[in-house]
Amino acid sequence: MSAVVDSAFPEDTRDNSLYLILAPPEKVHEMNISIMKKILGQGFTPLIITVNQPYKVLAKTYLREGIDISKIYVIDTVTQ
Amino acid sequence: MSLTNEPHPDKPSISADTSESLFKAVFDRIQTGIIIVDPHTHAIVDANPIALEILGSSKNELVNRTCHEFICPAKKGACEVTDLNTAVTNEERVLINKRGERVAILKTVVRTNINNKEYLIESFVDISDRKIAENRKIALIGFLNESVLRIRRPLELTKMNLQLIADQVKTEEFEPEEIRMELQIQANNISQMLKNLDDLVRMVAEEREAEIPQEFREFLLGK
Repeated sequence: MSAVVDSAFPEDTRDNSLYLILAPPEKVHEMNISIMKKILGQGFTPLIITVNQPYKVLAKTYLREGIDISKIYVIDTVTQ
Repeated sequence: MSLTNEPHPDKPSISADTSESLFKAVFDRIQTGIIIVDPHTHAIVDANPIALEILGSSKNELVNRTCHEFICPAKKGACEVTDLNTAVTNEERVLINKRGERVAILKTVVRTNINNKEYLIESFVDISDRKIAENRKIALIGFLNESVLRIRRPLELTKMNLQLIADQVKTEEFEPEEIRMELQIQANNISQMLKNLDDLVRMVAEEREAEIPQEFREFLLGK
């Protein structure tokens, strides 16, 4: 497992490693968007477990940031 | 008044008997533990009542025992006074009492010569209570640090989340129900932070049972 702090998330994660991303509270949102774009850019299909935002809000946020939500799966633990 | 028999120009000298009685009274009643040790054999020659009380031993159990096998944690040949020639003056040390417990003490050791024979006079006061108070202070600081740690990051995260929600309201892209749900999540998060703090307070109250008055402890524990 690799611990990645802040913006040092690698461009290529196809090494079968498990990554733990650490972010300060004020950068959590920014990091989320950045990492989602990188994961999609590398051809992966992300599965997101959301505990802090309902799916609808998350989807709108991603759409505003230009993220194609048809390529992601979400488990919504807020609205279930 | 002098305890020695040396004459003093302004004061009358006292007899050897009186001097011995005075010495005995001081030795027996002073609130400092005193142990007299033969520096060559490390055998305990004498101990005053407060030393016996701190050690939990009788004089018979103590006299003629070597100090490093009984009261001092230093190994044989590693006595800081006789082997390492280190001065011990008001130093924090530990004694081992009869029950094998380590007792924190403030200790001074001096060499002296009585009737042409050398002795070590070890004097010490029990500072266990002071050490306990210090440990409690450290524990309290630890508790405060833990409390800050448990509340600071979650609060920062909640602050950021609330800011995001405020920004979402401004865009008018989000339904009132979506905003309500998001606010509800943040309210739940704050409730969890409060619960964490309550848990910490409860842990302290349970651990420090003997020190916190019964009524206040029950209040802290929510009884």
